[in-house]
Amino acid sequence: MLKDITIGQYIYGSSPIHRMDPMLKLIFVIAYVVLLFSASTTAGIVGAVAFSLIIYKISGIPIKLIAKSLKPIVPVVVFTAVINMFFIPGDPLITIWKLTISRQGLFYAVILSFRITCLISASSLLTYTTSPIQLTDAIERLLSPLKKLKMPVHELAMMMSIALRFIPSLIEETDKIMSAQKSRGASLDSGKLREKVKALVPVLVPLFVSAFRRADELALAMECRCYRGGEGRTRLHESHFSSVDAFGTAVLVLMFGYVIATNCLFEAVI
Amino acid sequence: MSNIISFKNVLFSYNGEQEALHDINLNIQKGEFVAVLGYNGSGKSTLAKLINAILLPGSGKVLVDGMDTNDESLTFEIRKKVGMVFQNPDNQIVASTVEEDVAFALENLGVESSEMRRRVDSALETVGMSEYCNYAPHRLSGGQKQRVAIAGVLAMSPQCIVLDEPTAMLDPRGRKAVIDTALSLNREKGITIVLITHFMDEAALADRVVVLSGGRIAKNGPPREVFSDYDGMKQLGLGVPVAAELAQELRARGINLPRGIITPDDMVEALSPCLWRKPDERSSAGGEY
Repeated sequence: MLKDITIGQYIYGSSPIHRMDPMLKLIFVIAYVVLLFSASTTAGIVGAVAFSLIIYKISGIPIKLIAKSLKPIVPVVVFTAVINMFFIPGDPLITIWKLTISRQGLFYAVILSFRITCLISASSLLTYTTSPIQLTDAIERLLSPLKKLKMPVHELAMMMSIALRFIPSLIEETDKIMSAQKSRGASLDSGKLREKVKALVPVLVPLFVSAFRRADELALAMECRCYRGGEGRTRLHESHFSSVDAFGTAVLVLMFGYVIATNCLFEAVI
Repeated sequence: MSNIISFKNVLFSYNGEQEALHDINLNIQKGEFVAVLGYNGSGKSTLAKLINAILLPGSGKVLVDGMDTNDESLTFEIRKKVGMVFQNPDNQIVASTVEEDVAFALENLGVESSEMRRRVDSALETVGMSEYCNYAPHRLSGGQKQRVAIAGVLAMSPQCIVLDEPTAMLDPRGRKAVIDTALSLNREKGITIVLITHFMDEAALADRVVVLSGGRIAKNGPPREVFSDYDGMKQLGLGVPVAAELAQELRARGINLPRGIITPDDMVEALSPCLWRKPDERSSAGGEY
């Protein structure tokens, strides 16, 4: 039962988006968010929304999945939209009791909803097209300048990737321990919440003990294979700036140009 | 032939009181396949960990290809020469794909990425795991994981591989695959193998068997010689290979079999002449049936 849990939401694929350098992808997502919030004209925002739709199309990620990733944020979007609708002053449009919806407020609410939706879908696209390990790697590379400030960037990334690697093993182990305890008469999924939580103790204790033992053995195995921290390490998959990356950069720069141009040419709506 | 590993009067103790190893003197030659036997707590694993400087001797010396493990500046050179494979296949795979795990040691050593690619591919091919190079480790069987672990060590191109009970957690098929891999590395690539095991049948395949008991070397010799001493092995709390055990039982029933039967092949060879003889001759040649 526990085996079906997938870590992250990576969907295997070979689209140009999948093939892009993960670090670049991470930067692009951040840049896109900046772009989304700096676009202050209708044309600019429409462009930014269209851009994310096109990228989704290229990535080959099914539309259903976007809907799924957006579901949890619907309340947030609605809440911020409503708040903005009522509290932005401007030309009154509708008045309900003491609350007034202004034209500007309504407009702002719509645009903000678009912005949040695009922000979430862009970041989920990153996790859909990049495996957790690639992502860890990307974060390590992105943060590597901080090494000069004595930040343990490599160690953090190594810890993260080992944690990811061991999640399936620990899930398997949990399954085994649960079966073992059940076979000794433990009831793990009945009773009140308090009892259920109490029943987890005999599962968690052996799990922790075994995790520590694993950690110990793994450290030994790593030492045997000459691990000595990040100093002088090389990688099997060195990332090279590929044509996909170049194309992606060019497109993003163009998008920025477009947004800046629209911001200058048209009247700001926000 | 020269010694790749030599223990000189090695003493080791974990807590300063009880000695795990007493006065060990042992030489392992280049290209040799040595099996180390002993019951739990006899010091087998300690011996293994002393070889690649995971543990340092309390007194005495461990030399690996002439390098003293006590010299900290040589630790990584020694670990490059002697690879270790441990018992639990799950707890020695670091990366989340097979090929990245095999590359782990090379990444640590700062090998250039194209050279790394070549060595990873060849290591995976040697252990017969090429087609699994992009698999996540938890999708492999125990025997496959253990072969990946061997490949990870192999990628460093070591001169010696120490396997610390590599088959203890595997099913018979996985066990066979791992032992066959170790054997072929020894026979074809001339890599020295030190196999620590509980399985007498695996030890029977070695060039030499070292039996540890209470932290001392109790026996040290070719498997034929060691396993022929049935009573001695039983006294040490150990068994003998199935074929040797059978030979012993048959001898006890008065069947006259030659000494030194330790593999099924030996047994077949010893028994087949009996089958070719006529019944009346059998009793005179092979005892009573």
